[in-house]
Amino acid sequence: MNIVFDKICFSRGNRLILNNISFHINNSETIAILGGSGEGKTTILRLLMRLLKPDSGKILIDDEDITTKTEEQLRPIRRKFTIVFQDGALFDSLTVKENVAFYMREYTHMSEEEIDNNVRKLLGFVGVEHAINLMPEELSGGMQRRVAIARALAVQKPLMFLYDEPTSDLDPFNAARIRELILNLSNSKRGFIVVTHEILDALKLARRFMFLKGGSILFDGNKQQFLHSDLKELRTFLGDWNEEIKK
Amino acid sequence: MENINRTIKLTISELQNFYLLVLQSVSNLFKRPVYLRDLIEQMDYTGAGTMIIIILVALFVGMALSLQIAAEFSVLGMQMYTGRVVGISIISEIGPVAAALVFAGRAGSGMASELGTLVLRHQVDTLRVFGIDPVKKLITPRVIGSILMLPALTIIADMVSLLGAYYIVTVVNNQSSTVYWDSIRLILIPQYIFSGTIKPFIFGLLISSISCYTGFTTKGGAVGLKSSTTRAFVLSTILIIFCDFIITKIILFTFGYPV
Repeated sequence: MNIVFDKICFSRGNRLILNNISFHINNSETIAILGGSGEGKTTILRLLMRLLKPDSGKILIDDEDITTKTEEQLRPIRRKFTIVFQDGALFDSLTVKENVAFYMREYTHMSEEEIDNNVRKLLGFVGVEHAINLMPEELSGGMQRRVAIARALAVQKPLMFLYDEPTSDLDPFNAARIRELILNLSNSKRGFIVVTHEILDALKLARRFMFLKGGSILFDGNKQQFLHSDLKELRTFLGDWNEEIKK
Repeated sequence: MENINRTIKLTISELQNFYLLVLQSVSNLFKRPVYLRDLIEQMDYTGAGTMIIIILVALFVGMALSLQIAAEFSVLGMQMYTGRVVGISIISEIGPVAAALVFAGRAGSGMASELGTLVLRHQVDTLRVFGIDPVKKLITPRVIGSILMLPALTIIADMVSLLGAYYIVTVVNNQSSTVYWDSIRLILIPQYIFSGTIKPFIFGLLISSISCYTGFTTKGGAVGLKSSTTRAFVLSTILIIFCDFIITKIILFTFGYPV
């Protein structure tokens, strides 16, 4: 699956968030979009899912422009992706089991027994099977994130995973577990885009790096190019990491 | 001048979005899948959840109204008309309006804050990502549930109000129970019944669609949520009173003044 952002502009009120950005990605790539807070990283994910509409420009998915499509036309396109939002976005009126079973109940004709088995398998995979009957509010931040990943996995055959700040506010142990999950879920055919300001996450997860600043993509390249770029804004963003890289 | 133009444009655009949402939520009823479980849940929340408050409000409104009218009529020597005036007021005006105002305060605000929270916590986006129409899943059951439940609640409110008035008229003011119920029976003419039954359907649609729209368009965290909830209640209240006046005027114009 090919994804093309072609001269995308997006603003909120009078504030220009993305200014004429263009890039091309393939669903098998593992990409980290980096940048400071409010630079439009999450906006890119939301535009890709067409949860937001750009002011101008085109977003092509397999040569289909999604910016002009209706909500109904977007449904099959959205099912090619699965997204894990920053806070997990679990349905807080449903239990963990019901959250993970949600997609199966809506789109499949599985029996209750099959759904139960699948939910247990998915929760076991992310390591929170013991929380099956708990409500989201009873879970820690890390557990919520893992349940959200299990729920995202319930989507049948997604072609690409999207993660919005997957490890923000998590302790190092839980952050490492989430990173491990993200890597385990990707393969040669199914990549991911991770939006983050955590440099460690980006370095451990991705092979391609994009750096956003002032509404533009100032850098787009591989790990080596990313670590040794002379771009002043990127060096400033890397901060203490500059010393680590020199070592 | 530019600011005025912008405000007008924004208002028109918001009205357009509101009408589209209402149309979409009602037309969704005829499209598959039908979220029957969500509809029943909403009917339970809006109906059963609001019933006790409506019963209490209706009881005391009926009692206070009859107390006041009976006192005024006794001065004029027209006590036997107390039941008639109280009955007309309750069935065609106070019952539907009081039930609608309580409904807006309890169920409407609840809908706005619940939907606002779902929006702010990206749960509505999650539904869209899953390919589920959030209007169909979240708004249609609330709108249809309200349209079905408010008329039922209004009938209960009318009955409780009339019973409260009956207690005051017969026990406190020592009037004849037969005269009271006879005067109530005499006012059960198509005009008053129509006036009392059409209003709750319209109020139900108004309250639920305004509350859902304000909840669905919540922006800006806790402050935005507070403003959505307040806006839902204020707009619903103003429109209930305004529409009550318009509907009464239309009914009087259509049926004429009863003799």
